This record gives sequence, C-alpha cells and structure tokens, in this order.
Amino acid sequence: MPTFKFPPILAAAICCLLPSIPTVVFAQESAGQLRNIIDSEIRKAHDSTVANAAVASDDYTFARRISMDLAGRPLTVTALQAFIADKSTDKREQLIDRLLTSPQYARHMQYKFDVLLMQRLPKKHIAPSEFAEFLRQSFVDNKPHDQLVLEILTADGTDKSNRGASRFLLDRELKREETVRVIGQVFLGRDLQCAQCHDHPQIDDYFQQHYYGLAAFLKRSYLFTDPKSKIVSIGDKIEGDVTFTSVFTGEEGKTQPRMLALTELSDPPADKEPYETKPDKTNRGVPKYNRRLQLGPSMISDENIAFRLNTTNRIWAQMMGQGFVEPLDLFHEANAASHPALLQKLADALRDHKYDLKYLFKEIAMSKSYQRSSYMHGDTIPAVNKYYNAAIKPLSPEQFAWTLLQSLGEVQKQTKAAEAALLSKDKEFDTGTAAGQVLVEAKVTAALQGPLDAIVAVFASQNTALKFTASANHALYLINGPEIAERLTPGGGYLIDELLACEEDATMIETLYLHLYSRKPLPAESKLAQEFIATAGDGKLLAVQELMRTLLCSAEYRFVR
Amino acid sequence: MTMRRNKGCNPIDHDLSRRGFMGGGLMAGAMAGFGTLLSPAMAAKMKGQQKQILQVYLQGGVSQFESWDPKPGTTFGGPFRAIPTSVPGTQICELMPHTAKKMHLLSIVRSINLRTNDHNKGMLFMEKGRPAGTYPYVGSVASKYLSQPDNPLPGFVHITTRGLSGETAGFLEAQHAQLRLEGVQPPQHLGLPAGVSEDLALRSENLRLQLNQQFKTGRSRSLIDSYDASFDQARQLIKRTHLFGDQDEKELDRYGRHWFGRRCLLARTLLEEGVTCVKVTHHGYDTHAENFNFHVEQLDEFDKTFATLLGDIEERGMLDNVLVIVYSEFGRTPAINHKFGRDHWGASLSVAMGGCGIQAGGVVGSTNADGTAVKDREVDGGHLFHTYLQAVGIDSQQNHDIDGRSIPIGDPVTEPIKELLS
Amino acid sequence: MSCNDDSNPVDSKVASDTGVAEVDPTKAKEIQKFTHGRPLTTCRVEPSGKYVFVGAEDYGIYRFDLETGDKVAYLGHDSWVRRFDFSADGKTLLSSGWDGRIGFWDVEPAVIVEVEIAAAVEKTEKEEAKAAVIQSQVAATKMIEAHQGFSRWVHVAPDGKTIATCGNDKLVKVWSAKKMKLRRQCVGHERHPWAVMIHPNGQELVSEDIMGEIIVWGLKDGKQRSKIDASVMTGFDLKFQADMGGARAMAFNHAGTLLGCAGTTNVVNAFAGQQDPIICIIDWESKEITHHLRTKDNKPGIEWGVHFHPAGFVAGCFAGQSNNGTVEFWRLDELAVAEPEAAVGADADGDLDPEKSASTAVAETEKSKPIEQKPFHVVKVDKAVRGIDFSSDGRRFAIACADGSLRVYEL
Repeated sequence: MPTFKFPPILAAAICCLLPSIPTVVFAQESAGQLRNIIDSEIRKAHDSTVANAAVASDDYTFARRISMDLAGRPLTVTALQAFIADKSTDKREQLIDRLLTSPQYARHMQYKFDVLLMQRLPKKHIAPSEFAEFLRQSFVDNKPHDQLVLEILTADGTDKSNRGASRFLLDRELKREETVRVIGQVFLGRDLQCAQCHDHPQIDDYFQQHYYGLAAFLKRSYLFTDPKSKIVSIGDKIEGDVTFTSVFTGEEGKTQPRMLALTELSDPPADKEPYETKPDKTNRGVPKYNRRLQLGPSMISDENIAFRLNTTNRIWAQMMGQGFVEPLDLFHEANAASHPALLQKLADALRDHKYDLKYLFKEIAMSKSYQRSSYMHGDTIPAVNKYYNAAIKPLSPEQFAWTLLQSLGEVQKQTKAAEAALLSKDKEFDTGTAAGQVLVEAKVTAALQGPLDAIVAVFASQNTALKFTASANHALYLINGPEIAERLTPGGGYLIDELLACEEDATMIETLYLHLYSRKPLPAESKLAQEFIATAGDGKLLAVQELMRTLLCSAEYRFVR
Repeated sequence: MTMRRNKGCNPIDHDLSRRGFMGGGLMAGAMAGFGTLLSPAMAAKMKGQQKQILQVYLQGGVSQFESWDPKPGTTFGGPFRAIPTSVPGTQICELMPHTAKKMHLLSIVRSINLRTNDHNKGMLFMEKGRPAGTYPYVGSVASKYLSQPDNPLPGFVHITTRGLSGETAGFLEAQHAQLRLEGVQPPQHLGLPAGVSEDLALRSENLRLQLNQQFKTGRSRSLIDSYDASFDQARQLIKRTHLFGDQDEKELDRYGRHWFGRRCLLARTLLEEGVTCVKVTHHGYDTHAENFNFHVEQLDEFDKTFATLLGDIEERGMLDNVLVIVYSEFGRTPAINHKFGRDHWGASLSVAMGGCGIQAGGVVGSTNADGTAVKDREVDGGHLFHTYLQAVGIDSQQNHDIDGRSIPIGDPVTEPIKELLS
Repeated sequence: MSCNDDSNPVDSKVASDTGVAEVDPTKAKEIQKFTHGRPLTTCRVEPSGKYVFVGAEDYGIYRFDLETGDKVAYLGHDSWVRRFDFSADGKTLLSSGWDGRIGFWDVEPAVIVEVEIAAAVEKTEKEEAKAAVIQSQVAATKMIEAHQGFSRWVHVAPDGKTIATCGNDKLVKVWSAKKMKLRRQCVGHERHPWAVMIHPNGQELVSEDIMGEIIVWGLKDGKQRSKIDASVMTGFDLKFQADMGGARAMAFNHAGTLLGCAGTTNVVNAFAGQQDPIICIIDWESKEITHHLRTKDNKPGIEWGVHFHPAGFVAGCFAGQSNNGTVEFWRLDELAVAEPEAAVGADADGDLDPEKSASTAVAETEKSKPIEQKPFHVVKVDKAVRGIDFSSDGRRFAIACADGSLRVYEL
C-alpha cells in the first residue's frame, strides 16, 4: 500500500480547526438517572494519566451517529439542517425521541435481530419475510424484549396468524448442535459449543451440564409434518432424556432442563393422561406438561441473570461499538466485563423498566459517554473499552445499503413517489402523521427491496458475528458496482442532478458533504475537492462522479464517526 | 449437584494461553505478519522463496475406489481396474493414467476418517482442520503467514463457479479471506467505471487516501487500515485485468478447453504471479447415481489437466515451493446402490499431496481389503491441516495472536503426519 | 408379477406378417425368476431360447438354463459387461466389457469346469463351516483388447460378417467377424460413444455418444455420412456441472426403417437420478426423430433397453430413481402423425406465399416436432430394470434387475 504524506495545507487546517469545535453544554439532569450513572461509572474507570476524554461531538456528528444507531441510516439533509438550526437546549433528546418512534427504528431493529437470531440462514420451513415482519411489528409495538424472546422460544408454528415467530426453532429443525449453540450465544452470551463433548477445555465455567441442560428443554420436541396440509410445526412427546459422556474422562452425566448453573427443572408427577393430544401420524403431540415450553420462561426469569446481562451487553455494543464483554458470546469469569458494576446496573434497570429497549437506548444515547467525539487529542489512542472517545463503528450491510441509497438520492425519490401514490389513493392522506409515516416507509422499503438485497448480498458475511469485513470484492463493488453507477448517472432525479445544477463548485461540494457525510466540509477539504474537480481532466461530469465515488469509498462514509 | 471441572484433558492437548479467552479489542488486526510463525531455521531456508499452496478440490466427494484407493475385483470394487504408477508398488484407478505417470511427485493418504457424511461439515473439516468452530481455512492461514508484504494480489484466491463456500478468514483479517473468482471470469465488477481513465482513477485513489488519513487522525486505525488494504487489493486487481483475459490457445490445447482446464491454467498463472494459495474446484463428484459413468467423465477431465498442471509446476522449478493438495469433503460408500451410484462416505477416504515439504512417492495408511474401513494409521482433517502447514514452514502447533487472543493454529488434539514431511 | 394398468383398451392382439405367433403384451406375466447374488447389469436371450445370459456387478457373465435353472459362470472379464450379442449362427456369445475387451464364448461350451468357491466368511468357533459352493465355470474362447477404457457395445451385423464396437477411446471400430480383425476405425465422436449398431442393409452403422450426437458412418469406409441431433437425450447438470446422457441401448427394427435409442432427457439432477426416461425413435430415411416414447408415469429414472418386436410394438425397460421399474410397450403402427403445420409463408387460408420457393415450403411443411407417445401397456416391476431382451419367437422376454434377479415373462 503506498504511503501518503499529508498535504501541509490540510494538516494545518486540521490542527487549527478541530479543537475549535464547540463543546455541547448538557442540560442539568437528575443525578439518579441512568445516563448519569453511565457517565460516572465510565469516568471512575478512566485513567488520570490519559489526557482528557474526547470532547462532546458536534451536532452534525451526533445527528449522523444517533440516526445510524437508532434508524439504520443518516438523517435526510432537510432533517439534518432543521436539527442544526434548532436552538432548543433539549433538541438532542427530542431527536432521540423522534427516532425511537419512527418506522425506521422498527425496521432497523428488525434487521439487527433478524441477523442476530437467524444468522442469514436460508429458508427451510418459514419464509424469512414472515419472521422479519414479526420482528418489525414487535418493534413497532415496542414489545418488551422479554416478551419477544418468550414468543420466539415458545412458538411452535401452529399459529397461522403468527407463524413467522417460529422460524428461530423451526428453520433449525431442532437440530441440537445448531439450536443449543445459538440459544447460548444470542440469549445468554455464551458459546457453549466446545462444552458439547466435554467440559470446555479453556473456560472453567462452561460445563457439559450447561450445554445439555439447554438441550434437555428440546430433547422431547420433534418436527411434525401435517399429512394433509404438509405444514411443518413442532410437536412434543413425554419421552426423551438427556445423557452425555465426556470424551476425555469417560464420565457420564445426565440432566433435566436447566438454565446454566440454576436449579434443574423437574417434571411434575406423572399424570394418568399425560397428553392433551397424543402424537401419531396425523396429530402432533401436545403433552400436558411440555419441557420445551419451559425454555422461554426460564430464559427470561429474573433468576437468570445471564439473560439480562447479555441483552444489555448487546444493546450497549450496538450503541457504543464495543461491549462490556467481548466477544459478545463469551461471558465467563475469566473474561471479565470492562465495567462489571455498570453492566449490572444497566441490566437491572432494563429489567426494572420491563425490558423496554427504547428506555435503554435513550439512556445510553443521552449519556455524555455516548455523545463524545470519536476524535482523540494527543498521540495516544486509548483502548476502546475505556470509552474515552466514541468508537468508530462499521455500518452493517443493511445500514450500508440504506445509506448508499439515501446518499445518492434514491430514498428521497422513492419517498416522493410513495407519498404521491398514497395521496392519489386517499386525498386525506397526511405524511405528517405517524400512521402516514409508517405507510410511506413500508412502500419505500418495498420499492427498494431489489437494490437493498443486491447491496446487502455484496457486503453480508456468513459469519454474522464479525463486526466488519473488508474484501477486494467489496471495494470493486463500490468502485464499479451497478447499483451505484446507475445512481451516478444524470437525469434520473438523483443527487448528481442537484450537484451538477450548482452554479458554484463550493456550493456543490458543500451539498455533497452534507448528503454523504452529514456535515459541511472544512475549508481545506472544500479546496481540495475543488482542485480535484478542476484538474480532473476528463470532463466535469466524470470529475463530479469520481468525487462522489471517492467519498463513497472513504472511511468516513464506511464507518460512523 | 456440585459442578465439577474435569481435568481429564492432556495439558498439551489444550494448552492455551489464558489470554486467549480474556476478550479484547475489536476483531480487526494489523496487516499480515510475514514469517511470524516460522522456526528460525525454516525462515532462513525460506528467505527469498515464497511458499505457496495449490488446492485442487474435487467437490461432491470423489470416490476413493475410483481414484486413489482402488479395490478391483472385490465385492465393492466396482468395474474399474487398478493401474501401476510411476511409483513401483503403488496403484491407482485406471481412470487417471496421466496422473499415474506423475505419482512420483505425490503421496497418498488412504486412511482418513472424518466421521461425517455431510458435505458442509466434511468440507469445513478438511479446510479448517477442526470438526466445528469458526476457524480460518488453510488458504487464509497461508495468506496471513506466507504472503510477501509487497505482493499486491490477494493471498487466497478460489476459482470456482458454485459449490459450498463460506467465510474463510474466520477470525483473521478480512484481506486473508478467499477472493472468489467465478470460473475464469474476472472478479465481479473488475474494472474502472465507464469513461474513467487510469489517471483519473489514480487521482481518486490518492484523494481517498488523503481523506482517510485525515479521518484516521485521532482515531483507532486498524479498521481503516483494513479497509484501505481492500481497496489496494482491488486497485491491484484492476491493473491486472489481463490475468483474466483470453488464454493462450496452445496452452488450452494442453490443459483442455473444458472449464477445469481453463481454471487450472488460470491457477498456474496466479501461482506464477505470486498468489499464496490458489484453490481450484472441480465439480461433479456427488455421484449418488451413475457413479461410474460420471467418474469416467469427471476424472477424464481432471486427469490430464491436473497432470499437465503438476508437470508445469515441476518444470518451472516451482514444486519445491508449492504444496499441491488434491482432496474432497468425503469419499463414497463401498456399497453400490440401484442407480449404479455410491453415496456419502466419510469413514475412509483418500487425499493426494506433493510438492513443498512433502515426501513424495509414498502411501500413508490403508483401508481393509474391501475398502469398508480404515485399517491402519487413521487420521482426520486435523492431522492433514497440521501437515499442510508444517510442509510450507508454518508451525501449526503454535498460536495465532489476534488482538491479544491466543488461538492454536492447528487443533491441539491432533498433530502432523510426520512420515509425510520431508 | 401381475400385469396391470392398460390404459388403452384397444384390441392389443397384434398380428404380424413375419410368421411370429400372435402375442398379447397386455397379458404378460412372470413365469420364472432366477436369482444371482449380485446386481445384474444386462441380459440377452440366446437365439434358440434355451438360455438367458446376464451380466453382473461381480464381473461375471452367467448363463441361465431356462428349463433347468442351472447357472454357469462365464468368467474372464475384469470388469462389468453391459452388452452382449451373438454370432450369426447363434453358437457364440460376444460380450463387451468395461475392461475394454470383447469376449468370445461358446453358448454351449464343450468344457464346463466345476470349481469350489471359497466361503466368503471365515469360519469361527461358533459358526458351522459353510457348505462349499460349487460353481460351474466356463472360460472365454478368446478375449480381444478392443478399446482403451470401456468397451461399451458390441453388435454383430445381421449378415454375420462384421462386428461393430465402440468405447471410451471415442472410437467406433469395425471388425471382421471371422477372425475379429480390425478393419477400420471411425473417428469423429468428441465424447464417449455408448452404443453402436450396424444397419440391416450392411452398408452403414450408427453410434450415439453421451452428448446425444448420433453419427451415421459408412461401414465399408468408416467415413461420416451424416449426423443426427439427439441432444434431447443429453443434459448439462447445472448444479454439478457435468454432462450426462447418451444411448443406454440402441436397436434397429427388422427392416431397418427405424432406429430406437433408449436413455434419458430433461436432466435436472443426474447425480441423484433426477431426469426423465425416454426412447427416441428415428426414421432412418429422413434421419429425423419422429417419436419420443415416454413412460406412462414419467417418474424420474433411466430407460435402459429398447426392442422392436416383430409383432410391431416397441418395448423398453425402465429403472426408477426409487428402485422400482417397469417394462412398457408402445404401439408403432398406430403412432399418430402430427398434422403438418401450415406451410411457412402461407396465408390464413393455407395458400402458399408465391414469394416463397416451393421446395422451401415443402421442407418446412414436413418438419414437425416428435410425437410424445405414451405406452399402451405397462408391466410394473418391484425393482429397477436394467436390461431387456426377447426370445426369437417373441413369446417371452427376460429382464435383468438391480436386485440380482433375472425374470422371464410370457406374453
């Protein structure tokens, strides 16, 4: 890779200009609020030898970051400029509230949890779109998270109105290796895979008992295909116990259903008629006491601390770019959380607020720790898990797809078309209402499904635990991919038309920066870009297109600052 | 019930650094470290000689009876005969007469038991050396530890058009993931946008680097460095579009004008260009029906082409530095079904390998007389993984160091097949 | 085995003009069943009707005496045999082996050796010693190295003077029948030819390869005369990226006016046996495929045999993907001929466009799609059927099954 020397003009500009970004003054809040607890715990753990923590992010940076984190895409330039111009002292809180109630929030959370829970597995028995819609609606309704998890773990596929919920178990076909592993990872923050054949060789607190304790919930469950409708659902029997042998020691063990180290769940005394519906060729088994149906309640019970710690850790990582525990699925004693007390407090607070994720999102977003700039003064960049500065966060494939389409003007184009279509059907239609926004969002998403899928396919990784992958294939796509090239072509009603219509290059560049970076360019940046246009030599159109591509390929675009 | 921690494992088997599970930073590390895991002796020996790997993956499960471990005239032997090879005493199936003449360059392992009949699991075991878990493929490991720092091309290129593929880099940096080429087609979207000259492209790239350099200031660099590396790779590929252009007619006559021939010719080119690991997939071995007719067709295509490729590597003096591996994700059942087919069989399969670090001309392990089980020297994907890496000078019994996590490179419960190593 | 499912209840007693007794395929019934220990690959009824020869997956050829049930092993090939033929005098069996050799065997050998075959399982203390198995064995009178790789097919010309073979060296070879001397090699197939037949006129021979390319050759000079496109019988499996197709069996009718090629079509996943069986009937004069004989249920599988019965129907045997099989019968003399499409260039009333040349219009008129023909009778078999042959009098047929059984039916 070629080394590059900073052009003096730009270096000087950075040194002069960045420190002068105004510090945001936070409103006074009650000391007991969670956001303040976050800040005080984070501050407590800061090393006094390290220079001051990063300053607060400016409004542009905050707007881009919070919109990406809560809505999965940046604000439109119109909304951004309105936010910048707003003089209210609580405008950041208002923006957070707006985003949390937007349909884009539900969509973003749908993507997040779909990838977390289903790991981009192809369809087996349930259409992925059904599961996605189940998730989306759950987030529209702000369903308590424990309730959501309960539904996912108890759905058996027989509820025709809500079959999507059963995809988590059904599409893994109850295969033990995959199902137990993912339950441990996504709900408990523990990858128990290596504890299948023996106690985990490196992690002292992952035992075979834990692995098989989870397996025991599902041991008596099976896939049932209705002979007439051919619909696959989950049936259950009253037989089936779990035993295991360590391949190292030969020791045998057995367990009833249990949640990690908590007490085993014993079956109730045997009933004369143990079944409500006996299993046979035409009926799926429905026992009166169903071990599988204990999994959900056990998972979300107050006793199962691991559940809320894991949930909290993941939400924290989503916002801050770094979990208290990393990797996110490796909670164990020897892998201590960076801020164990804070993690516990946040988890308990989430529980106390009935697993309202929006509550947690907001408290984190309102903290100073979240709102810090990602830029650190000084020579040393401290470890990200100290939160001296905000971590830059790579966009997920879905975020990237939406951001690309929005930056280039496609989302606005489709939004106008959707609004016009809805208005033509209903003269009373009002885009300003929440209901109107929901309809517009659904219509725009449907219209953009093709390009969204195409872009996600390029950037999605089969290893969904990876936070970021960068490959030559990705780069080639950004340089030369069709979805981008099409939207850099003039005459299509995209951003490039607006740019080419600018009379002044400086105006054009400012417009470009606002759309792509959600900020205005520094004077030195604008000058650099103007020089690029002027000296490109291949005609104005090509120069502008290349400038757009360059920004699209830049790190500031790929990561949230 | 009191939880007990069993200490039954051999400390050597699971001797991991505690640091390995302490967690740490984000999963993006620094640039590839050349030579970081070589013994000093090996490093000295290899100075100036890049080691490479050529993987020929016969996707679907080539029948060991119809390839490296024939059992003619036995109950399950099928209709093919065994033929002598250039190694006295070693016979392979008659379907590979050209390869038979090159057997002095290869060794065979006949005693592999993967304990799985699943395509994906078998493939992953053979690639990662572990039966489960997120680990990098051997090609990605090779890319990380063997790639020359100044080689602009990706370290791991896979030439295929379909088949099972996954993320190959595991926890290694993204630039070590396979770059997948659709057959001999250039990578998707290879090229500059319409109308953009090389000069303008260079200016764009310089501007992009300037912007990134600015963005990096005061921020953590590793993610951005990784991102820059991917663009560097892409730009280098764009400069080398000619690699994917028309292939020489005479060479095509030698290699065969079918897809496999073209892909192997491209593979040779990429090896000559210094790509660390080149993998070529030949499809069409999952022969549940018409096993024999399909093996006739597929191995007919494979045999001459592979022998040509191997011969070219040897003639160019590359064989001392290129490890050649021919493998599948499992073998095929001894029993022949009613469709004249053989089904999946992970219990006894064969692999052929030669070149860098391998004692050629040998046979390791054996199956019983009718080919229904491994008879001696049973090994699995873990042993093979160790062997490949040791052959190219990577100490597979050391650890990766990924952001403070120590992870054994090869599965500690297995070890290299020492009798194969030269 | 019951005969069943006659969906075409037309009088099926078909008279012939060749002196063959009336036969009624709809009344076909299994009259004999012989079992060999290993799956069978093919079968032929010896001309006198006394014996049936089968190939098996143990490399052996076995002669079953239909009267006594005696089995004699003809051992000498190092691989499977999937095709037999007989010398003109019926005294010699010719076998085409996948070891590349043509075997010559006496149908009635002078010497049959009784050989004790070693028990397959070693005797343990607990097991009683198995009774020694005595096998009657015959050796070949000669074995000729005919091809590199498989020798796929052998056919003795009806006049008995010439023998044709084809093999995996992509060659079709013509031999003198008397001394099995190679007369000429026909070069031209780019892929492996699977079957070759000499035309009853003794002037031509025809072969088909895995790609469905049929080449007509001059028998005397070995030169290509023409090609017939039977690519309907091949397929490229997109998923696994390999070709599969070709003629599993080939036959002329007695007069040489029709050629039948048995195999597959509509390849979806040949690796799993997911393709449709088919017999293509080619009109020899026009060299056009006139009929696609399709099985009644069109279940996935392979059509392994084709036979033109003197009584005028065509019989084929089918091996299903699910290890079941059938023998199906198609009527030939009542095969419908499609109405010629309106001559190209004709107006709505069918009048020819005077702009078009008459010959063009006629040529275009005559070219029509093959008829998709369903059988008039099906005999269901509980195992995959891999070969079929009829006795010379046409009264019986034998089938070779994947379970090692040879079954004889009477019509």
